[in-house]
Amino acid sequence: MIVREVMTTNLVTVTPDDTLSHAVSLFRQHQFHHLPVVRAASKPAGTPSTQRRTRDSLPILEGLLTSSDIDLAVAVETESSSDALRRPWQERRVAEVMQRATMRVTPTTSVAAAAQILVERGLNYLPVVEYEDAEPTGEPAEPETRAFLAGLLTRSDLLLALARALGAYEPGMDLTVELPGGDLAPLAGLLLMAKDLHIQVRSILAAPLKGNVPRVATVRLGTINPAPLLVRLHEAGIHYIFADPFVEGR
Amino acid sequence: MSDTHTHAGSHLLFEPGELDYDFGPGHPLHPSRLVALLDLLERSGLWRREDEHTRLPLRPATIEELSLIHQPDYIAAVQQLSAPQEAGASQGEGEERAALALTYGFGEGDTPAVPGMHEVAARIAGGTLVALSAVMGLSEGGTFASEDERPRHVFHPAGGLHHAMAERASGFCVYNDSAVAIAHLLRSTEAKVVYIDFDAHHGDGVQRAFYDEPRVMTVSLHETGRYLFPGTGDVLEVGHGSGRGYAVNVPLEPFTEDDSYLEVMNSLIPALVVSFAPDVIVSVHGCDTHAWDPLTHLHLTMRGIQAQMKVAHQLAHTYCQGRWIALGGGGYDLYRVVPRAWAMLWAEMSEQPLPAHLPQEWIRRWRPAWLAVAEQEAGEEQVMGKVAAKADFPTTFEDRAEDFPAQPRRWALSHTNRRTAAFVRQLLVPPSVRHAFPSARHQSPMTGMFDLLHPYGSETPSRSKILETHKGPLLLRDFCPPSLVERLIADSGMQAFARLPEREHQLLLTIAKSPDCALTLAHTPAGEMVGEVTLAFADDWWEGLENVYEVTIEVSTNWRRLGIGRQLLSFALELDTLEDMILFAMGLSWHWDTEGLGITPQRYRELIARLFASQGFVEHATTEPNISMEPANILLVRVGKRVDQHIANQFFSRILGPSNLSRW
Repeated sequence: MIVREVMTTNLVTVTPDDTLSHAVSLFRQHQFHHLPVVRAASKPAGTPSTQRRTRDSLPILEGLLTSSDIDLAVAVETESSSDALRRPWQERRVAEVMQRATMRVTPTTSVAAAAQILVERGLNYLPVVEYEDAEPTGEPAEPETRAFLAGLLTRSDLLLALARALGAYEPGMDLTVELPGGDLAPLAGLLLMAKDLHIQVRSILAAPLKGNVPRVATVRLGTINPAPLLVRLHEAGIHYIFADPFVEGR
Repeated sequence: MSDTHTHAGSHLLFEPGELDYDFGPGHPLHPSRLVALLDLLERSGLWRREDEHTRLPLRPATIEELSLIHQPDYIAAVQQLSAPQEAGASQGEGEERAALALTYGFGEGDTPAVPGMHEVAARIAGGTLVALSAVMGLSEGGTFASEDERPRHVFHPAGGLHHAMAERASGFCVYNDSAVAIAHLLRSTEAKVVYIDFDAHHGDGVQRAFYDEPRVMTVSLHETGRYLFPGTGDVLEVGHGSGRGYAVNVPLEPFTEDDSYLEVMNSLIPALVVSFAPDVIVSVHGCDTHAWDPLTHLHLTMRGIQAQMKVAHQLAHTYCQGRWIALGGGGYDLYRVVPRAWAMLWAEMSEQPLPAHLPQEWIRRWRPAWLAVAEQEAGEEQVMGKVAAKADFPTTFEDRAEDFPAQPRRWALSHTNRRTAAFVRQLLVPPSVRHAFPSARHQSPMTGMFDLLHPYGSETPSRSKILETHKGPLLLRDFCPPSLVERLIADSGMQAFARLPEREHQLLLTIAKSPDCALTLAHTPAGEMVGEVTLAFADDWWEGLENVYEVTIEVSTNWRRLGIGRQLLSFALELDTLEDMILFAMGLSWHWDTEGLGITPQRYRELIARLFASQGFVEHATTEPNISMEPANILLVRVGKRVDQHIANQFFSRILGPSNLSRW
């Protein structure tokens, strides 16, 4: 899975010249805690406007504005005595308080790698950018390569991706099969039987790992009537867990 | 039972064409269950096919009506798949058809695409639409000579296809008849509907259709989706947007059995219906909850199933002027369970006594049908993780207890279910209603609330005080006895919890009668109640904590901004004994009438916080899931001066502990 498949693309953004009061009202209105700061890319002359959404139509990422940047601006205003900062914070510009957002990923970064960055750095979101192509001359790319904002990857995006990968958005039932010694034959058998019985498979999760091999597989099946499948599993001697009551303190 | 005039306005809606809802032999949902049901009804004299008094003609739902719930492309696909495949169709056309079927949730397994299914599914949806329209007095329900002739209850056994989604077929269901009927009602009237789903599977399609609709409360009691289809139906699915608080899910453990099921059902359903104040009840009576059902594990017997019907019937009469439609739903023990359960439902609805025994000739006809599949069923029960029951074909409507040996771990399972129910109560039943409908097992106080608050006795059974306001004098009185409450009437603005002043009055009367709850009232000299404070033992959810009591308050909308709330609260909490207790008040934003007051939930929150702060209550941060799931929710606590430090610590470690929600 790559970032492009799970990122948020329908973004609310601000420009560097917007006032903080505008940004605050966006934060309030959408209950966001972060906003990408962008400026429109100057289009090369003669670009057909009917073109599919391409990189050229993407805005250039300038930085990120978080609600804590604004908190800080408010605090500075009340504490500072210098005249330069005497301006009410509402009138200050986004460019003055935003961060450069140096941690970035690209649409083709793997979701696993992006998730690791989020967790390790303690971030809640990452901008997803596409970089300007290097000149065909083979010259090394300039340090100031422009980054086009393609999307934003948030923790919620990852959670939704997880839920989707678990098949949670499709009606189905969960069946767990044991994989003794990491042997995948029971899982393979189950899948073949499901195919025979025209039962759709919504998701397969082989976990948890123990000694680097999965010990159980949880399969989400799109059926209300598992009995025919269970009969065949039983006949084939495949051990499964289904409808195990939950008892506290176990 | 040939006297058809005793049917009390009950109609049974059935048409032979509905039997075409048939996915073929060997499919778990087979129309022979309806044939067996009708045969049982006729042979036991409960119903006659040609009886004009109980008949209700149906018509298919129109495309326009189906599109109230279903997407046009889905309906078009169903129609296309419904046409028989031409004999000379090329392979490419066949593949295209198969791809179309898969896209829209049809497949060879659960819900195969069969010829004519659009017509029959539309007919079933039309049936439920007619049924609901008839009890609600809409023209689609037919015209009747007089109001007395209008059906009050309708039973539509073929209905209840609750898994069908807007854009796909699912779990044997093509068109969602209940959702279509309810959507039609919402469009035509201002009525509010409570939908109660007793089927063992979660009523996901209906819940989804009305997830953000505050005029429909969906309540589903089902086997937990941890393993079972459709996998949804968690307690925390409570609705969205303005529909928040109007989706109720009670996931029960496999092998729940009657006693635990009844305890959970009775602690929730009546309280929910009171707090929602619906105009009509739509209930789905899927009898796949039965122990013999091959697809599920709730393990009820006819005793539990009959109790579901009685609850729905009784609530319809108490709160909805009798307006009730009952639908079939699941039920896959086609011959031993479905006919008996639904015959019982019809008898309950039409208020006819059940014969002691099943008719001999009915048994002679249907026992062989069961025997033919009995062996296969026994095998399936075993693979589903159940102990295969050796029971023979039943001979009575009710079940024999000896056929249903107790399941292992019964106590532990009912404990888990009780926690689930307690959580649902905390989350979705307004506090005052909870006080009026205590769950069966309260915290066994040694004495009633009065004795507890007056350990040395009291000269008078209740105190009173006169409060002067701009609108005239008010009498404040604590420990109001039922006799007093009966003489008073509720002011027109008293509707915060039960939504109608008369019901609010009824609610207060119930509270006054309960020894476990102290009721303080403010009323005018003319006898109009304009405010109330209740004090009760903390609900089951707080189980294990000592000395914890919950306070609720309400002031009539006509008497706001006069400082009555503050005075009333102060008066109610004046007793010195309260210093030995921890008092708390909970505010859940989805119970607040912010629209009626024209203020935001945040503002309402401030009002409550300030009101309670005047009596020494402090807002506490908490990890309690019901409070923390919405920023506007609030928990206010007052720890009495003489409360033992140990007990107070216990309380605070509970509200701040690692979430109580670990199992959800």
